[in-house]
Amino acid sequence: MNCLNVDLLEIILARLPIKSITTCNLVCKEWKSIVESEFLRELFLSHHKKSHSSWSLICTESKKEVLDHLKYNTLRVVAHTDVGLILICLKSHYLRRTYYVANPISRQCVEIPRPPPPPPATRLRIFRPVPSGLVTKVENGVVIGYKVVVMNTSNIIDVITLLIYSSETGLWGFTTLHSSLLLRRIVWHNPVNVNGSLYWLGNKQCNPAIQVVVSHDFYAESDLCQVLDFPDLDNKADFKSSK
Amino acid sequence: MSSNKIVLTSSDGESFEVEEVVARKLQIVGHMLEDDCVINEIPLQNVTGDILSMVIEYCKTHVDEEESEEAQTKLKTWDEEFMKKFDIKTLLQIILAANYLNVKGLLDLVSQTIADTIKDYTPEQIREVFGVENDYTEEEEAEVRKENAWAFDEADTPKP
Repeated sequence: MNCLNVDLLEIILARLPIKSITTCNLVCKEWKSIVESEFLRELFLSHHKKSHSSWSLICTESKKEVLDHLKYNTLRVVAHTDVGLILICLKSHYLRRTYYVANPISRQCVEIPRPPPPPPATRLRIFRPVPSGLVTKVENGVVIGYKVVVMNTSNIIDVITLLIYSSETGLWGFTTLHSSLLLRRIVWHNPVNVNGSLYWLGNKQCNPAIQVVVSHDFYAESDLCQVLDFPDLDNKADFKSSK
Repeated sequence: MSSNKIVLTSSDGESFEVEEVVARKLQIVGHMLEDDCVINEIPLQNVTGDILSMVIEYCKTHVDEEESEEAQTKLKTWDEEFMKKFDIKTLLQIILAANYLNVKGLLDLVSQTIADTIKDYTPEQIREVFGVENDYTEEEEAEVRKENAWAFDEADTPKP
């Protein structure tokens, strides 16, 4: 018999790193049911909120999407496209992330190589190598290419630096985009994808900060970003991506 | 603060005289005192003397929890050293006691220490320590192992 009751087991197991939690699945059936319970997941979340070693289910508040049929609790959908391809992140355990572009219908999956470190000469203060966008190139309803996009997260922006992986070259490369207006900030995560373009929320460089939408077409020749105002500027609503 | 003394008695008859403020760190005692404030001897049925003495040591140290960062760091260091004294079997006794006596801080500390201790254990070691029987058939075990292959062997990281 267990020497501890379920309540105590739960408070211990929730403090384990994710890798050990899955080892606990093998202990016995009761432990497996504890490990897989919603309650444990919530408890785990509360202990690991501030660390990077999170369990994918847990990730950010904004998205909790998990591919159940693949049975990897550490899979998380990072980006969607309008043609059904998704970008997923597999956290194997502490800090080791692998990104895949996948088609959940055909269950095809392609691993994306790790992004290179930023060049030392860049002016970027912070560059988190965290892919957050996926765009596709479609001709006659067939996906013929995709790009995975990592965005610079530094503030105060006159040029926007991106790291882009292209399926056509199989390589990562740096690209800088120019904006017609000075921007104070771009929200790098959860961009919206439509037809090969990404749309981010941003703020104009003015006071009070006015929210705008910043977009770029990754399959156009131009290195310009479009800046779109929201329709009702007098309304000081704080817009958020509803994805 | 009241310097009233309270006697706590363990299941094996050992008695500990502690100050009321210390005893109140055991919420089970706190509740008893609220119900009837004239008690000065409290029998604790589910904890033995050796474990109760550890709990009391923790409560004495944590009796004035100061907010200052310096005090917090000092307490944290003390906690770490305190936990190092115990093997896993004792830790399990302490968590049961912390739960029964309802000492929130100790419960958090000891559960984290247990987690840190067992995190690299194999399923077999966990079963032994926790006294759990393996109720999987060979086939079932193989199936669970397969589902969690990524956790057992880095080289097996799946290409989904």
